[in-house]
Amino acid sequence: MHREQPNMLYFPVFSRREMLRDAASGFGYLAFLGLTANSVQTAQARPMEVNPLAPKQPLLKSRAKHVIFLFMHGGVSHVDTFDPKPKLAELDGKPYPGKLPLVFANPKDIGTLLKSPWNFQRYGESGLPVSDLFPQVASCIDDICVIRSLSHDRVSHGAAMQEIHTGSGVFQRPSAGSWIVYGLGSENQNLPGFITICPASLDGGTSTFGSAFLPAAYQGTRFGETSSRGRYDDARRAAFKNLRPGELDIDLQRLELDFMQSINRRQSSAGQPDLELEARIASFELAFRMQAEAPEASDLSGETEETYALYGVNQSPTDNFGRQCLLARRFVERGVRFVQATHSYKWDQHGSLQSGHTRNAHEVDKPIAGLLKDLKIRGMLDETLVIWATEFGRTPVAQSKNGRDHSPYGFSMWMAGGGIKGGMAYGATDEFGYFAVENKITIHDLYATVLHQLGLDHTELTYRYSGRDFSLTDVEGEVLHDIIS
Amino acid sequence: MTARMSNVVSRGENRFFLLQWLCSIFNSMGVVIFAAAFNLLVGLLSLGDEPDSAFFETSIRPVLAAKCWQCHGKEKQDGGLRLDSSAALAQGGKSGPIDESTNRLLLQAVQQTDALQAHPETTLNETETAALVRWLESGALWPQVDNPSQRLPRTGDKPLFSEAEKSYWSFQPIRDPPPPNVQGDDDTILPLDRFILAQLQAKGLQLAAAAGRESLIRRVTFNLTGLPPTIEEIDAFLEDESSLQESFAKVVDRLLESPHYGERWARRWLDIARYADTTGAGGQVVMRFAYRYRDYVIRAFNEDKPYDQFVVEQLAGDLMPATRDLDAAVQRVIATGFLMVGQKEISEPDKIKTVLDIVDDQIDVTSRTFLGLTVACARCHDHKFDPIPTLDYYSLAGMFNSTSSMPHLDIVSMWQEYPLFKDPEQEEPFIVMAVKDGKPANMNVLLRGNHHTPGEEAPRRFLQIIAGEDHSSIQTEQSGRLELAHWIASPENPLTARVMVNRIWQGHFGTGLVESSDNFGAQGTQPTHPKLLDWLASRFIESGWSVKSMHRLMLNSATYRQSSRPPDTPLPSSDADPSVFDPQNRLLWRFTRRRLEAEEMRDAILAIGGQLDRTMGGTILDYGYRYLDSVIDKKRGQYGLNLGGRTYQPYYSPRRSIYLPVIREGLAEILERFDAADPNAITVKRNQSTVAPQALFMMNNSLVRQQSFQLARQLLNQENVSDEDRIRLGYRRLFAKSPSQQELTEAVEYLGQYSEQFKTAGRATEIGSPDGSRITFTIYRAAHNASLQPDVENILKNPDGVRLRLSATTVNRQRANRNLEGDWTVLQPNRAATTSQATIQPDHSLYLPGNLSTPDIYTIVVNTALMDITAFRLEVLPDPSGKPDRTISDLFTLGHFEVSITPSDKSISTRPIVLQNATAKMIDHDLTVPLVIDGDLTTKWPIGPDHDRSQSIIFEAEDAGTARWQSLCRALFCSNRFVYLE
Repeated sequence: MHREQPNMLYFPVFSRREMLRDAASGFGYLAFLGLTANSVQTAQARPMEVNPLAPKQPLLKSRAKHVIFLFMHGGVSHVDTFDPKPKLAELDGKPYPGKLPLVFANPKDIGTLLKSPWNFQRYGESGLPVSDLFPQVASCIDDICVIRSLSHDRVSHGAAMQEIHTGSGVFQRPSAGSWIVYGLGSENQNLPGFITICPASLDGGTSTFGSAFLPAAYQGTRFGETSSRGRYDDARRAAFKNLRPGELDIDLQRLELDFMQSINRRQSSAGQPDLELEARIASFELAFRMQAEAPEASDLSGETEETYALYGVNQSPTDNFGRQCLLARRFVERGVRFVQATHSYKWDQHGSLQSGHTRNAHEVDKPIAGLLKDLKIRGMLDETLVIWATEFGRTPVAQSKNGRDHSPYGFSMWMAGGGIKGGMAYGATDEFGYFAVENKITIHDLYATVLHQLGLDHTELTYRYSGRDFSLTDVEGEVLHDIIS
Repeated sequence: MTARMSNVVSRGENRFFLLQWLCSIFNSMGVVIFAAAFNLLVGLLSLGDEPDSAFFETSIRPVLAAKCWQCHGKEKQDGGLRLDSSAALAQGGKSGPIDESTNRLLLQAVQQTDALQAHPETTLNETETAALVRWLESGALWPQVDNPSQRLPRTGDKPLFSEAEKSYWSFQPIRDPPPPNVQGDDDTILPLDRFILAQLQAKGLQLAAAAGRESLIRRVTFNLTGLPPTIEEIDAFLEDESSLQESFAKVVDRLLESPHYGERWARRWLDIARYADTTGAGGQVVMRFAYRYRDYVIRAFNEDKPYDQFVVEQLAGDLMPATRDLDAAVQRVIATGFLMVGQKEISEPDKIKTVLDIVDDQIDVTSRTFLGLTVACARCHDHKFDPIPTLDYYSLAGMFNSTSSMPHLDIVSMWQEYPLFKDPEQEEPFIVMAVKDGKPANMNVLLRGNHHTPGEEAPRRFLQIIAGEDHSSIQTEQSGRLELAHWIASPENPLTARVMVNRIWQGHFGTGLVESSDNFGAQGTQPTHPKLLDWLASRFIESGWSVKSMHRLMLNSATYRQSSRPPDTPLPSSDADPSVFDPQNRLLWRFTRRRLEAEEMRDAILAIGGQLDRTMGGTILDYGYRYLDSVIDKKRGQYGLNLGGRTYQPYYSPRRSIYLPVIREGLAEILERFDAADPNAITVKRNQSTVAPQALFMMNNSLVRQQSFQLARQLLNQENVSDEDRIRLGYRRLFAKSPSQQELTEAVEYLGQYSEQFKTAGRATEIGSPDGSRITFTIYRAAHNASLQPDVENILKNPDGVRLRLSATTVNRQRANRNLEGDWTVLQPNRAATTSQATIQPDHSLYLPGNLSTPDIYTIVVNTALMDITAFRLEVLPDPSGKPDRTISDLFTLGHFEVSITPSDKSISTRPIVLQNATAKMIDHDLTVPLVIDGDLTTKWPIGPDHDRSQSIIFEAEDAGTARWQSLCRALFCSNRFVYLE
């Protein structure tokens, strides 16, 4: 069940002995302002006193409150996972009959059509086909909407990562998570509103969780990091930065903080109460509380063996991503708005498609299915939108003998929960799987839909920067009403 | 009508206030966004509905244009009502915004029913009325969000610019207004102050009293050098007996002569110039000579290079007439790095697009930096708000497209980089990263910015709104950059001088006279003191564009010397209280308190800790160049250099922040955390956020911890002084001001409380006992992240092993810390637990075999009778059997190092030993780090034997005496008094 969190305001929580004085000078002053006709101007002129992360009520009816974004870095081949193409088997080894689009690899390495090494089977009541790479995810297929027609034209990892995470492969823009926290705030003021677990350390790196021109308060907080190829223990070692080191005594730190705050208070009481100074005073108290809450939120030791088994925690090879998924659930459970888990740069099979994709799928299949099942059991799936995505698909033609090159012109991703229809496929690629041909969508359409599910209108969630109103979906994007239940 | 309206209006107003309040929550950080207000409003009006744009465009917009805009449009707004955009509509008339009720009133107006027969001059036919009614009833939706000041599309027979556009204030020539007369004039009031005072006095206000000398010297020293004043500098100012005005002017002169002045003000310029050392855009390819541009900017500020020359050099230094002065010639070429340091997509396969994106970046940075205009908005369509047609964009684009930034389109990462000369004493030629002129040619307008759809030819010339409509194209055999540069740097250009003086003003007073310092166009704000702006711009030009003379003019004013305190005297009413009617202090009725910026904070912490390395210039960027051959892919260019983000070693350098490498994909943590400029964007004014992760950084990050420790040690090293004296010194170092008696008493009490708590907390006060004790070391070996070749699957593969050896010392802590080699007792392990094979060697080291495929944790237990241990040393020794030519991947990466102690007296339980003040001798590639200022035990430190040299790290063990002083110093660093300038 979703746990209720106190909606703590940004201000407050001073030590007991200071409380009365502050009520008289600091917050009393605020309250006074609230009663005067000038309050609006004052609030506008000094907007930084207001907690940027305070929860906000969306203007539209929302279906989802939280987002879990599962990102597979490197480029998952759609024709080998969620978009079966019998034509490839039929014409295996034959040249591609059309004109090859722009490719990333050296064109002379690009070979003939390559059939998928995996079989597809139909699953669930819906009977949607999924390849043998994802049998566990397939068992949840009736909760999943597979989108087979996502498309963009960025063929390099860096640009495509940026495109998928921010909507622009060219310009530096805020990440989707930042926009969402900007729009909705966060439900738990003792944790960050946007957490990214083991984010990619290359190919776009910080842009995947950066806030660009949005205030820094909206950027994603890194929980751990990924070594270049992603090692088995990245998630096991992950932690928030700058929490109190274990060897430092909490009572000593509290004492130090009290001393520091007394210096601050002396400065504040010297003149009229200054909201900017008081906001900084309050931020230290919040930080102190965060230190207590954050380790608990990320501590998996209280989870049961059944849960471990469900996610594949403490098992090879699922331990790392299993932990990421389990952490994602714990964070969302505690009111974090947007959580991303990244399966690090492993999916880029220019060669050795069969062994590479097999290994990768083994690492994530069970954890992802575990997450979906767990959310469902706990009644959280309705309010949590789970997105599974990658930066681009892979070519239907072979690169060298046994690999596939990048292909962004039509590839697959899926969503589950948060008011999305399950057991359906949306859009289609051509018979080879090269181009999206039916209900072709862009990342803007996807985010228009995500925002819609969260109760936000993508055309209205704007931010004025450099003389222009920016939005996550730029001037594009259509809500995909067909996939909403 | 009036009575009914006002009734409705008061309800509307309440609602509007509510919305504004919501907006203020929505837009948190110092940016007030009216757009959001109307978006919310539009949102309320349009719940769950989609505007039908075809209906609007065919049936509504034409009717509005023909029948309504004459009186409710751009030129005229009867009743304050405008009906020419959704925003204007949402704002409603003079009397209130549109909500459901006023919407109904509009409806009545259209239907000409009831009392609202307000439009005798207008007649609507039935179709029009029906359409408008349908439109209003369905919520008055506009198909797109636009803006009241948005330009209407121009048609062929209309003039290019409207009169309003041509008469916009920022396009008018700079005037030189005389300073106004003010009351109470005396010789402390300078001409500049009169402009400020005139507006203050109009509101019944005066300048605030002058700030105290301690506040002033701290304020101005940070403003000009980004560093705190030294005790000697503070004393000299306090003891100067001449008038405040005179003695302060001396301080200003001294600071302007400091080489650190250039570092501080260059950083501001680099924010705007989107300076970085890597390409970004998904790659981290090193632009190895970008730093020459950074150093050029520092030098230009220090030498007070005339600003007009500074402009010309950056845009066209390579095209300036030849000079015999080699140094000047070299500097000019380097200056064009301004056009080169932008983000580059290194692996975009569409080469033409790559080039056009670079041209766009150059237009953007040029127009915003020098002119305060967003010309790049006109790439795909005429500028939405400013009089900048797409044709003008491509006029400029022609110049930049005739300039070569990327000579080899097949290898995009091969940007223009060439040797300028060969110094006979140097082995390598002097290479610069700078543009070169290419083949001059006009460009065609690209429809919707797409190079597949060319339109009319755009002659290379300047912006028509300033240079005149249809002025003739430039006559040149070159790209045209030089002509553009001279046009921008001309005293006749109405924008250049205004934009720069406004930016200098912003640097000193927090907010520009034009608040939107990056936008002098229609979307920008009006100047609060337009005459002062022009007066300053005139002085700027008159001084020969001397930036330093602008500093003198502003800093020596009484306006600058004001206290930041609000007036003490109670005001008759809140109407007269400037903190109520002017909370942002735009009238400058006091000095606006300013928070230290990220670099100032870091540099000040290091300076006060005594660790700041003040070396100037050059680069500390370590890009593994030695291994470059292995990462060049001839087909695609250099690709995929992974510098490891925040754990990137040069970030732990004690150099000033401006010299830290700017890696586009990951700034140093402190910079990112405290709102430093994002190098991917042009930043004219930084955000300022106040969030808990910043507080966590101050409380727990090793930088603060380490420098607090260093300061504590300095205070303790004062001989023959009392604790009060030490506290006094600490306060003065941080705040420039002595503590009051009460503050002193509190601080002394705090030291006592800390000692008490320290004991209560069971912290080890001494390490070792005569009966012997057991020490446990836990060493985490992390995966090393320096793989340069993404295809190397297992980076820990390494045929050779390493040996770890632990030692302890009992000599004086500071001596121990400086001494990596002598006075150490090797500790003898009696047990070692690891998950991989490890064996204890005869020299008491632990041998770890090579070919490790995973990280590991080693737990080593030693028994020792050493007493009063002050420090531990961890050595990494080469495998004696190893081959001499080792590969890069054989580094031992220390992830975490923990030590705990159990005295033989078992009644006392095991206690952790707090380690601090790490000092290391490490070799990573070619980089030797003699001083590890990071001290973060969780940072991954690549250490390892390089050939036959061992590497080691020393950690001091905490002692109670220093700990309490360290805590006190850290509290001072965390306090508001440190991070704010009064």
